[in-house]
Amino acid sequence: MTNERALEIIASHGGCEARWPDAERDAALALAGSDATVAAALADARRLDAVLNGWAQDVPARSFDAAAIIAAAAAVAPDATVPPVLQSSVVASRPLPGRPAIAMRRWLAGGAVAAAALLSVAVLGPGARMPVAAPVVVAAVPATGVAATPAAAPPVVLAAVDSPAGKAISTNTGLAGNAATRLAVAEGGALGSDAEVFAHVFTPTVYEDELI
Amino acid sequence: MNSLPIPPPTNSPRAPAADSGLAVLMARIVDGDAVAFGRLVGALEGPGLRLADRTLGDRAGAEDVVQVALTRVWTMAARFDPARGSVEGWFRRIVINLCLDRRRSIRLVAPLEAADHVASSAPDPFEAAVENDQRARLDAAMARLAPRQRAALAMFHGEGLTMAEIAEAMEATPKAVEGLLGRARIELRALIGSEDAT
Repeated sequence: MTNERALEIIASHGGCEARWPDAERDAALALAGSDATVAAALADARRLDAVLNGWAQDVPARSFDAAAIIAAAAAVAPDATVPPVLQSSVVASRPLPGRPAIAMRRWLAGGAVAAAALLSVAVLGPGARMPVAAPVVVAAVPATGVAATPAAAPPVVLAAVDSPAGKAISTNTGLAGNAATRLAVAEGGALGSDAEVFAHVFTPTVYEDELI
Repeated sequence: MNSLPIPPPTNSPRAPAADSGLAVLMARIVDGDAVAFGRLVGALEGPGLRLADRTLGDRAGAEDVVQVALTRVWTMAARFDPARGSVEGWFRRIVINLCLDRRRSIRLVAPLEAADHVASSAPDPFEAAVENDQRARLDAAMARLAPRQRAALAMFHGEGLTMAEIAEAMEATPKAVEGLLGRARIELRALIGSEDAT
């Protein structure tokens, strides 16, 4: 055991010899008994230990509410708005090392489409005029909902575009409590101008906003 | 929220049975057992809050971090692999990563000069002023350390963890943690010493 090693042990492990490496404890202690430099470092380390123990332990407690954490997690978790089957298929298809390159290409293509859609919304703005003619909901999920879904959540119609048949297609993730609102939006009757309809249609939920 | 001090940790190694109990709770949490999650929260919240508070030096931020970390335990329980380490180690790793992510975007707001402006309303003004002054100097010195150094000090002195346990939480080697702690203590001693000298 050298002085340097003893000082290293004291510097990193502090002055409590019980926490020193077992294999070096006896030798370091012996050196502290015979070497004034090591002894001084040990005394200094013990003073610092007392300060640091108080610093590290003197923290006021707080109880966290497990039920509230579960409820909050359910409110923002993907499975609150996306069907589990879709989630699992998306997750299962994610690119991984060793997976065929086609999976990566699919993901990149999907990402490109999503980016283009977001860019167009950002450039055109929510008030941009787009033709909406007598939209009809063709993909409405039953409003059975999820327990954590807020009843007053805003509409979650993600897109409305002209179909070749002149019908607008509304893709809806189906949150509980919004069926009437969705229907009103889809029929274009409850709101006034096309711009108002689109401003309403493109209002994201909190979860969608986070994704964006 | 209450303000009772957290019971001081024991510096003795934790019994393996305690963590195997937490692993059992984790297995139940994977199945959606809210009661098991409540018990796990009770076991992890104290150490987690101490670690986050001391790493960040920010109480509100620390509470946010622990809240998010506990949420991740619930939502990502299936990812816990008992073969790769303990529940506590996994949780500590989540807390530290959240703290370090947070620190990257926040500057510490405890300049050394703050130590010169400590007010006291305690019954014994002189003693309280001395105590407050020492505490402020320590906090100011701590603010000069790197977050990883504070995290290592918090785990070593607050939880009584071994180098290996700290290394697991920090995704480092025990030797690297030794160096981290050694440099932290030397820097801290120098900072406190320089403050004492002024």
